[in-house]
Amino acid sequence: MISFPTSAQGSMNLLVGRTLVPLQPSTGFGKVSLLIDREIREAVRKLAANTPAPTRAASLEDGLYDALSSYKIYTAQVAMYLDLDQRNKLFSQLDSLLDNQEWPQEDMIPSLLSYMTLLRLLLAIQPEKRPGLGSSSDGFFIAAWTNGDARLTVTCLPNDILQFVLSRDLDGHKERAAGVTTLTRLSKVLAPYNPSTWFSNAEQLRPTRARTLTVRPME
Amino acid sequence: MPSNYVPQEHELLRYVPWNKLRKDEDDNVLGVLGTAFKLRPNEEYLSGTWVGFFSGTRDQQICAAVTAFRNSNMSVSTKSGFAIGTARVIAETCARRSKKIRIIHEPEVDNRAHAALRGWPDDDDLLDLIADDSWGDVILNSSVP
Repeated sequence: MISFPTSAQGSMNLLVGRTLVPLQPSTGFGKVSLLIDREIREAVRKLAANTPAPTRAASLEDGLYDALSSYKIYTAQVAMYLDLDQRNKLFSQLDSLLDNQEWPQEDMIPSLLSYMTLLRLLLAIQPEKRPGLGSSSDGFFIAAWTNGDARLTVTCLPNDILQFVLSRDLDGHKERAAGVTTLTRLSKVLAPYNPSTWFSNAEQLRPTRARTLTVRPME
Repeated sequence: MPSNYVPQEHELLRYVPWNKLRKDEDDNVLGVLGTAFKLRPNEEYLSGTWVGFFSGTRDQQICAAVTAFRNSNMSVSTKSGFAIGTARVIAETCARRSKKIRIIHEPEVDNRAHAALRGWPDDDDLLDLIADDSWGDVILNSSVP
């Protein structure tokens, strides 16, 4: 059992295991249920967004630098759980994601609390295949695993709250699911979907559709 | 004045910054994240660029649409990309979730091919589906001359 230097279990833990929403609802899953679920998820995001942010930096460049520093300092506190290669790769992804030349000025910089959830997610599931990283406009890290058309996208909210969307083929039928859960519940929530397809290095496929196009120069 | 709808079979292009591209662990771009299609709190509609507004082959149209966006007031970064999808497919994906959207040509001073997607959903699950299935093909900014 890994113990982390900071445990920030807040009141949002009331949502533990509360939602696992099939996106193609069965007949027993009505519109009202979907509406309620959507409201819950929106409320969770709003709660998370209201978490105190770090003092605003003088410039975007300073803000990105300060954020990267805070992520790396926090990572150093759990360095014993990451080998050097893993840590270097993670730092490389962070440097790339928060590149000053690439960052959209109107986007919020992900908070340390969101990063703490991301790092704890990676330490808890110890995936062979690490996720691609992204971020939302409202300042949350996104971890994305892709194996062919099987996709898992996890938005890391503060206090170990995870918002996820997944899609994969099961028995010839494309199934999608989404919900909000916690770090401690994630493995159970994903279990029916054989998560090794995302987390294992075996049988990794490129997306079946051409995801990136090329164009010929104009004459 | 009547709305000028973008023809159903025409394509739309949307700018996707680096942090909203779907990548693998080595930063190879695989597609688009659903968050790339999320409206900001002050936005009434989602913006795109109507590819079919320009003449020429499909490649030439795409190049022209990218150029139009680059020449607008928006800043375009080196590693960013553009998502491309067909108006009909995007609208049908929304309609399957009982969300009726309208895709209207609304030219702007700095982008004559600007299109507004009105009635745009706010549902994260649906945005992810749009990113996966109907507006998920990407052209990297660096690959367009």
